[in-house]
Amino acid sequence: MGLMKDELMSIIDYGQKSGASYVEVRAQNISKTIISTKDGKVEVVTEGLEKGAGIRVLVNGAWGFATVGSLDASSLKKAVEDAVKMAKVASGKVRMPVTLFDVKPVEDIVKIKPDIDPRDVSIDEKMDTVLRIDKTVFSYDKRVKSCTISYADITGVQYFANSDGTYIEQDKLYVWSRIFASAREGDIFASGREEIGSTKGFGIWEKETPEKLGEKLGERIKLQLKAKPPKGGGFPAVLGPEIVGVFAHEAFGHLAEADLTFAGSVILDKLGRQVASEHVTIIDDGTVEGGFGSFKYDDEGVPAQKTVLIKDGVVISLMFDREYAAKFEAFRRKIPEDVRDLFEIKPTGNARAEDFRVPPLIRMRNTYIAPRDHSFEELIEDIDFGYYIVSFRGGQANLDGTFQVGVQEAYEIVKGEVGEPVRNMSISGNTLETLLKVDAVGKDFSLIAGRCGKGQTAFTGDGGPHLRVREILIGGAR
Amino acid sequence: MKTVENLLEIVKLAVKEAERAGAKETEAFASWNRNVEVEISQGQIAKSSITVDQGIGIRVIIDKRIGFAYTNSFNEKTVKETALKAVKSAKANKPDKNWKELPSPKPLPTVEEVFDNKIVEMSVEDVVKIALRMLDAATSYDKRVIPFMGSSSTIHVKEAIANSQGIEGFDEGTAIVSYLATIARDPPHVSPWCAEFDANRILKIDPEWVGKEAARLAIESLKGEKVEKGEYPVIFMQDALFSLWTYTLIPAVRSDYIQRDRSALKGKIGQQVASELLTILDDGTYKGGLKTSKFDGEGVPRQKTPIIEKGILKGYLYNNYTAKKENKESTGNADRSESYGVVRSSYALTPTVAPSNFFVKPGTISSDGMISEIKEGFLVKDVQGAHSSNPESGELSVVATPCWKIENGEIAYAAKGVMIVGNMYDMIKNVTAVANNLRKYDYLITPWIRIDNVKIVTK
Repeated sequence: MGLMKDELMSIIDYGQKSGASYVEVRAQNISKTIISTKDGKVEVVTEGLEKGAGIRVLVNGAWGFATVGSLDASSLKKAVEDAVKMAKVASGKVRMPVTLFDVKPVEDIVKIKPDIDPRDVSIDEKMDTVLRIDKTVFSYDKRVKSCTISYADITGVQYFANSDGTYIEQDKLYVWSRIFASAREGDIFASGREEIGSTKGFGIWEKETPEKLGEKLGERIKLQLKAKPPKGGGFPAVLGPEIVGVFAHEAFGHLAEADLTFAGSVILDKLGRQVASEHVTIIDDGTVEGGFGSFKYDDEGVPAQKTVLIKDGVVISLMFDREYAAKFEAFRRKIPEDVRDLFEIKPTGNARAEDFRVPPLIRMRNTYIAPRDHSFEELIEDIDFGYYIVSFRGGQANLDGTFQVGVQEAYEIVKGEVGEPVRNMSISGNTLETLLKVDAVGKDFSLIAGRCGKGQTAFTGDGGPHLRVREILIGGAR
Repeated sequence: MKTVENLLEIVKLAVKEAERAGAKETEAFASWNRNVEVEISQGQIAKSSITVDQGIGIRVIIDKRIGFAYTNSFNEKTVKETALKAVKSAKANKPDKNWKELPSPKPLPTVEEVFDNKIVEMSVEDVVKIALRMLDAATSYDKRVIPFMGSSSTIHVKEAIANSQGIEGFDEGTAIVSYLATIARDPPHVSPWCAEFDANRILKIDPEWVGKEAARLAIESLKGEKVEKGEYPVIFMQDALFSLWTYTLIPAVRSDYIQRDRSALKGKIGQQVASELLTILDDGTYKGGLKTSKFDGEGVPRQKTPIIEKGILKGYLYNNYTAKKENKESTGNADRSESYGVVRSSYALTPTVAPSNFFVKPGTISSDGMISEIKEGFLVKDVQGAHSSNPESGELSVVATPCWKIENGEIAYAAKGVMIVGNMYDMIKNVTAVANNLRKYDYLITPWIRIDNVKIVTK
């Protein structure tokens, strides 16, 4: 902690003297390597360098934010002036002044020890890794006709300092890849997606070898080509960990982000109450070892933690940043008395910003449904006809609690056994109604790397065990 | 260590430096943008920001090997280092046999209503006022409305490009946006999320309308009723068309999708692919268009490109690379933007293919007239889940929200749990009316469109 700390502290000092009651500086020095390939050809190798700072201040209960693409003292000074100016203009109009929930100041240096540092891996080897996936997908089935792969590694350091006395230097490390492939036979189109990510380093390719990944995607697409359309309507279903993850994240998770809850999500009237069946426990956890949504401190300098959102069907916490923890503390008396003490309000370490260009928002980390005791066989044996839903194409949810998820891999369940594959399926419905219909939860568990968009992109992990719902609305094109 | 302020100077410097380092062909694209934004959250203004982002991306080609590097520093030394990195990245890459050459200079069009100095000179207070006017209009409409998210913002963008073929270009643009998302609560009823916006390149914006509309939409979709499944005529508003086409029709007319055999419209030029009522052209020079500019992401002039004329497929969208692969000319559709939005390109990205302004020729019927002609059907403002559509087959399955039932020529009530299933390439054949209410919605400029025999599934 040398020069950088002194420089950021003097900027904070300057901001406070200019009239801010709170000042925070987030500076980054980041390198990116990005490779994109199409059909076995490397389109482009990008080497990027990004350096800059985002400064956030509070003046009379209003936020001001400014960014600058450099770290020299005079640019930072100009940015803090901009931020204070912005906050002052807004502060005259604030009816509910922003206050921050108190947290203990932290001083820390967080070094990541990568399994393999992507900076030590040659561009050649990175290209080769990506092209091996491509080759596996194409050779898996001759009807495969396109494969697009993106690879990115992000490395660097983030510096965080605020006027409460917190100073953190934290390494950043992400290795990520996404593969899209498609196939066609006559009028039948099939497409699939796989995504992997690690916060540990390039070593992920030793576990998830390019060949394993390619085969998984190849098989998914091949199955779709012979798959049949689903029947529309309500059916019992067993959801795999990937679907459970998207459900925990998209359908439920966003409703429990305190800013969206406060905005009027359907959870607002249900704090401390039963919203899901007793089999359902949903957790957002920033501390999962190697999880794609894991980190030590969030972008307000609050330690990441394991936050239980739903315990045995009851909402017991939300995901908070410092602003919304303070807002909900003021709101606590509106929570029914019998459950008030059960409901926990404190900053949970969910404040995340994509980079220095944007201020932090409440974002998820690793979001999952906790495993219980059923085996997969026990989950499906009683289903006479239903669906086993494995993998999704995309999902969306609304604050009123409705959701829609497009499915890229699913099977019929016939007389207690997994049957034929189904294509172009989607599931939709009301999240809380569906959670109440969960009647058995498996004992397996996996987390899948993903990215979440809420104006900014955040790396997340989503997952859980297999589970069974008594009824879910199945839709399908054609 | 000198920092270069002039964008055109910096791209020329980058080209020179890369050539000195061994590049055969070089293209440098620099951008600078300043965004002033006042954010609304939970019914009040509580956050405002000034973000300035600038940088340069350098593309280098050596013996058909392509390399790219970028930096967000305009420091002369960093730019030189970045040029060197691009050269190294090209040398590490494998040759692309389809690479021909970078584009050559051509006369640039004049474009109108894309820059307004009044936007540049707006004070932060002015931007706050716009947000307040919008907010007041929403809250005074009905007490049950919560304007939970919104913003007013101004954007000022400068872009410069230079390449080793002699292209040199500079462009400057502005935009102003006011946006509001609301929900209405009247326990036990909660409306779906309803959003409205107004965006323009010049200082002509109606925040009161945005606030009132966002509020009206939420109130009018507060008490949703379930409906019968079946096949109905459906009127799609701009928001819904944007969501649906972004994941179906747009990729289908992109030359890169065509060349990779990933489009259902491949090989159909000259064929009837849509209703005779549908005429679409991509017009990068459209007066005041949110995507209008002098040149595309490779310095190629923006132009008008016919896509569908009276239902007959006329052409696809090309950038320099995909065009030269077929010995054609680029249609000026090289795109460097990160995501959808107003006018902004990123120095950190290499060019792909995307529409500029995708313009649907309006019809003569008014929006009210369109509703009055439907005995039983739906009016769909937006859809959820369009990104899970299959871009190649056109198959889709989306939830319509907000959405209203039309009965006997009038909007009868809000409909909930309405799922639209079908195939976009069948749906565009069933267009039975195109309204006259053109609206700019990101890259799309379209009126409402009526499509018949749309399959509706419900719970």
